[in-house]
Amino acid sequence: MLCLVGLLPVMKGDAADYSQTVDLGVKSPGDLVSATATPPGKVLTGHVVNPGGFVWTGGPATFNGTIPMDFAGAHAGKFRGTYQPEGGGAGRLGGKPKIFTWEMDTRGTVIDLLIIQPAADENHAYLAKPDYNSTGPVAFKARVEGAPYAGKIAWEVKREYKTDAGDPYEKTYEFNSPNDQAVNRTFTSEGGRLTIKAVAVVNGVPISKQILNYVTGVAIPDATITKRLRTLYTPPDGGTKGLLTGIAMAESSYRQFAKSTKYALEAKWPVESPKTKFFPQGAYIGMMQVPVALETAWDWLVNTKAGAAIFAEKLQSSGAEVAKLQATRPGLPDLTGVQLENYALGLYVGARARYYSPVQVAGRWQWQTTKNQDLLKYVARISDNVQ
Amino acid sequence: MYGRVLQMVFCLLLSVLVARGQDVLKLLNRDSWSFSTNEVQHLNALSPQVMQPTVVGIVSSVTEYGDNDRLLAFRVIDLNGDGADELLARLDCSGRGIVQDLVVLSRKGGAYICDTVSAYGQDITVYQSGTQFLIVASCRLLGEDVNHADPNQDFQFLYAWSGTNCNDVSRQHREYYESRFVPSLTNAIARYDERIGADKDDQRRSFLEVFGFGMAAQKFTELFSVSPLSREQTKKLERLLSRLSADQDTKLKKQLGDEFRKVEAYLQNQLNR
Repeated sequence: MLCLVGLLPVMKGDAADYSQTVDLGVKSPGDLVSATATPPGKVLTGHVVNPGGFVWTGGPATFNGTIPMDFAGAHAGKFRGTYQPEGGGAGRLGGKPKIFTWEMDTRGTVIDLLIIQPAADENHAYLAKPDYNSTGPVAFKARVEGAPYAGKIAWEVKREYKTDAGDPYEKTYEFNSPNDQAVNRTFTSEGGRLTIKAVAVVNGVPISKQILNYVTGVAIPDATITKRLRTLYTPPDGGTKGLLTGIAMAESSYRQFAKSTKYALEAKWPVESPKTKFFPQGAYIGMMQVPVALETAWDWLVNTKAGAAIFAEKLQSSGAEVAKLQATRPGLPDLTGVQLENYALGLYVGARARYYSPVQVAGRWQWQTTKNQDLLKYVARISDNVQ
Repeated sequence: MYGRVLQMVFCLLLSVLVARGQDVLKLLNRDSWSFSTNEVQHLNALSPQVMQPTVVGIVSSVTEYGDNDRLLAFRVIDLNGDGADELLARLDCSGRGIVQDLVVLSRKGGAYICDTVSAYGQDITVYQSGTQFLIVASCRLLGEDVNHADPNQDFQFLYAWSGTNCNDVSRQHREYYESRFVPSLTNAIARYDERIGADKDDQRRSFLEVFGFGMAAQKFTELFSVSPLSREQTKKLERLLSRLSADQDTKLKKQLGDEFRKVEAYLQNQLNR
């Protein structure tokens, strides 16, 4: 808005010869603004009288301002200077050019949206209760500053997690909160980086703020792991009740989460399989090193259940293979429960060599143990670590 | 209406593709696998899902194992340039996608020939040397001495197909290691931050990474009687290993057993030269 007060080259008290007001509108902290003095002539000088909380550069006619990040509320700035009227001769006396004064007021409202909770870059580690697979309630609270506001705050929380080998697991949660009041969300069986965006529409102008947070894992006590793994497995006759505890030790050293750096945050992240030349990092994950998925990565209950299911399937396949071999080899004895488990462990670790293979000795079929050192070591390590 | 038409077109296309896939698969019924370039292209264009029943059927009939295996990848290629084609297959028996071996299949005079190479991974990689394609087989140097989530330095071995089985020809192809393995190892050592492993959770990982570098250098020296590392690199490795191993629990060192002492002795030996 431009208001022309006068063009006469006469000063009346502090009043300028030319006055104008520039409405900067509704702004947010960090915004850049600009105001130009437009008296009817050539601007000769100009300076800031009152910055109104902004940081101004430039002049003499055009001033560029930056709104400080911590500024919210009404802005009122003032600028003054001199100008020479158009044509240069309108007010000429005795051949000397007449100098006039100008004055410019800037007005505006700076509205800020403060995310009060959670804090920027906060890490929400899982809690022990109830099952080491969930955060506590995470409070989301934001406040509009600089103007009265009775509307809602709209939240967008994007959770993302990815290993080098796996697909990206992304989900965006959308919810609202009243201004300056918290709403809680709990993250269960999921984790990773959270991009949190709060939006408020004030006087028709949307303003938003964005921060990053993280959801990460927690150490799970050995006794809790052992108790669960022993309930997840029903061995064949004569088999090993705690076999899954040995597998968990050989696969991950009993860890679902371990300290490492991801998304530039050092915290307890799901235990990923290491990178090799022909395997990207994170092809398998967690305590039982099962194929990566969001839940197998972030929920040890799901991970151990998946591992137990895969091993049960291997045990079944082992039984079928043994029966097939026996069908064409009369007298080939049955495998004991432990032997069948060893056979199944060979499958679980992905070896083509079988832990036992049939051989004929002196006309009689019997089982021969593999000479594959890696397979022998894997099975022995599991056996040594059974709880 | 449109949706229904699209659905019918899709089903028609799918059935054409499946029928075409079945036609291509019939190529594998030949008494001897000697395919034209075009036929090889058609076979390699099939998906592992389409190929799976045939390949799993052949392998389990030859070896008596693996009825429930899942075919993750395959490649038809004339490995030794003799005009007979081989089929390389990655078969998963783990149910987890962990594959420790590569199966090589061929067929001559109505009989299948099958060999297995220890090769960790899901991909099929070959290295061309003259008219031959050598199988690049990745081996984890720490094998099953450590857990599956631990760093486990890998080393590649090269295998040539003789027509009946695979033979390790790594020693004869120093150029492969000079051009690929040595730069990758020396860069990894050069980049390694000496301050790493400062806290407990890092120590095991860092120790095994550094130990793996030592094992890989030792393996190269075993093959070619020269060290892949400069004196400075060897010194850095020895310094890192000495610092990191001091923090390790005896259980892990015991687990690594002789291998640990061998790598220590190897580095010392290289420095004393």
